[in-house]
Amino acid sequence: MSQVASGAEIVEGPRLSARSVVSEFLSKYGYPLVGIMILLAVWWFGGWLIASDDDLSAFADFAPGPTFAALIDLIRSGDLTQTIISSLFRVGAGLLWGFVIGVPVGILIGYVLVAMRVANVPFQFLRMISPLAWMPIAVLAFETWDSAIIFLIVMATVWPIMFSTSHGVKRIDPSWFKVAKNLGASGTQMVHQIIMPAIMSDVMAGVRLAVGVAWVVLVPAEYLGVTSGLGYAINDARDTLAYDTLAAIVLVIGVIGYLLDTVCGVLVSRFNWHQND
Amino acid sequence: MSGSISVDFVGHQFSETAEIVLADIKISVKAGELVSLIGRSGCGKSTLLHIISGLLAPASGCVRIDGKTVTKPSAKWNMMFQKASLFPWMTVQENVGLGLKFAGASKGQIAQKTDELLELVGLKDKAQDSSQSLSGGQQQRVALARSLATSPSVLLLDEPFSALDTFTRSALQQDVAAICKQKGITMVLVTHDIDEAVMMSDRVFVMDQNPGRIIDEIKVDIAWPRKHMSQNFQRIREDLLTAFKGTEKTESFRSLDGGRYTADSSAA
Ligand SMILES: Nc1ncnc2c1ncn2[C@@H]1O[C@H](COP(=O)(O)OP(=O)(O)O)[C@@H](O)[C@H]1O
Ligand SMILES: [Mg+2]
Repeated sequence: MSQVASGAEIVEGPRLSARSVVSEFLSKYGYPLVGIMILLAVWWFGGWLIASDDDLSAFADFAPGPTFAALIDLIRSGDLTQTIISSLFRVGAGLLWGFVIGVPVGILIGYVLVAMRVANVPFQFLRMISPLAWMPIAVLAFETWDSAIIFLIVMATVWPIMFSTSHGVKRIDPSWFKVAKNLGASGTQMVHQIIMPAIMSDVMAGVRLAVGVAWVVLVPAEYLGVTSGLGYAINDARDTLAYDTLAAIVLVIGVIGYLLDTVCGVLVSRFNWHQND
Repeated sequence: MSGSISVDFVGHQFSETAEIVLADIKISVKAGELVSLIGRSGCGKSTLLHIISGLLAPASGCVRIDGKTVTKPSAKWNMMFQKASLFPWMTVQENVGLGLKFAGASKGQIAQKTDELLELVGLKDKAQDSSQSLSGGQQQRVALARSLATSPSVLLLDEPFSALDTFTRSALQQDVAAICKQKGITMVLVTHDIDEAVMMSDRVFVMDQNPGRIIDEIKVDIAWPRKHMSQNFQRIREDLLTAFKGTEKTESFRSLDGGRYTADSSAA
């Protein structure tokens, strides 16, 4: 985009360049802003509909006004920070385990054809099971609620990380191994200097998918016994009929999910060396 | 001077039941000598080069470099391929310095050596560029610098110029031959381009297929640096063409350089 703009600058002079700066600003901030405005408008309109229906007016606090007021209260009281930290800790731990298991296994099934053949059916089968379906088993198998939730998140994150990793390994140019061996690479050097950098952008793409799934799975998982976290907070707000707080937490979940995905996106492009994607 | 190669009765099959790819290859190359292996596509040239490099173990026979049997690859004898195979996440300089990094050289040593080599191949100003931003010829120059960084005594070249345009190829042929001569590096070049073989070597081995074997050996006694159209050049090219008339033509030879003399045009 910016290259096109600067190209036009040379040919057409400063007038067009000013316009291209405006269009760049628009596409970077303008369009997303319009999208957010539309979302807010729909939300506000929905709130207005609910408020104007006598049967539903008890839920009027879902509207933007009360929600933002509740959000400010939540932030002021300091409860929100603790809630977010609990949830991020669980997602982080689940991701870490997903990474620690998914990357090596992904390398193995990407590199060793036999391992791929053996693992393919069982892994595709396990992958299609909703992580939440493991809930009863998780509750039986783990002593603490926290570890049960982390297990569910691992079951959600391990697959995307594993499959992206093996995809990345399969994309490695075999001649790189020859060249590296010829230049005297040891086994560990091969892993650290060649394989890891070669697959890192694919691994990060897998992590990005995993973060998305983990964040979605987290909230229902936190409906389980725990007394902290965003999922618990939603349940708690529902039980106390605090619909403004409930909506505020939904908002927080969306914002944090968006931020996590953005960070992952930055990491993906940071490690990306492929020219065409 | 080191880098003498002796290939002793090397034979190869990719499996017990597969056809015999190489049969009783016996070659000896003096340290600092430049030789070419020329033959039709599929006659086993790449296989032989991989065996010499230690990337592939021969089914029978052995290869000795400086009297020691080759059992595994080493940065003392480096191979270059048709594709430059640079590491795209590294800069040009990091690519060139990789072998030294593997060997545990210090940052200072690596910087000094890579500067010197990039100067030699004429790419000093590209040191910090991404290797993906280079042209095919420039990439192959970086691969050459990368192969030279570990100060090898032998360079094994598997058709490294065949994907390049005529001008780029011609310049690289002369540069590689000159560098090998200057540094006393033994060169084994695999090619199917007769001109390239005459241009770059002291001796040319002609290979035939089914099974892959050496059928002729022609000495190229032309002074360096060489010129394409000298009388001696023409004479040796004729000799090679005659040697080729004898080789079995089982499949059409892919001529990558459209119109120039290759092994194929000999039979046509
Ligand atoms: N990895 C391999 N496995 C089985 N057969 C191979 C392999 N590599 C090469 N061959 C066979 O060995 C023969 C020689 O191949 P190659 O050495 O690549 O020939 P050249 O380099 O002269 O074109 C060919 O018939 C080819 O099909
Ligand atoms: Mg070949």
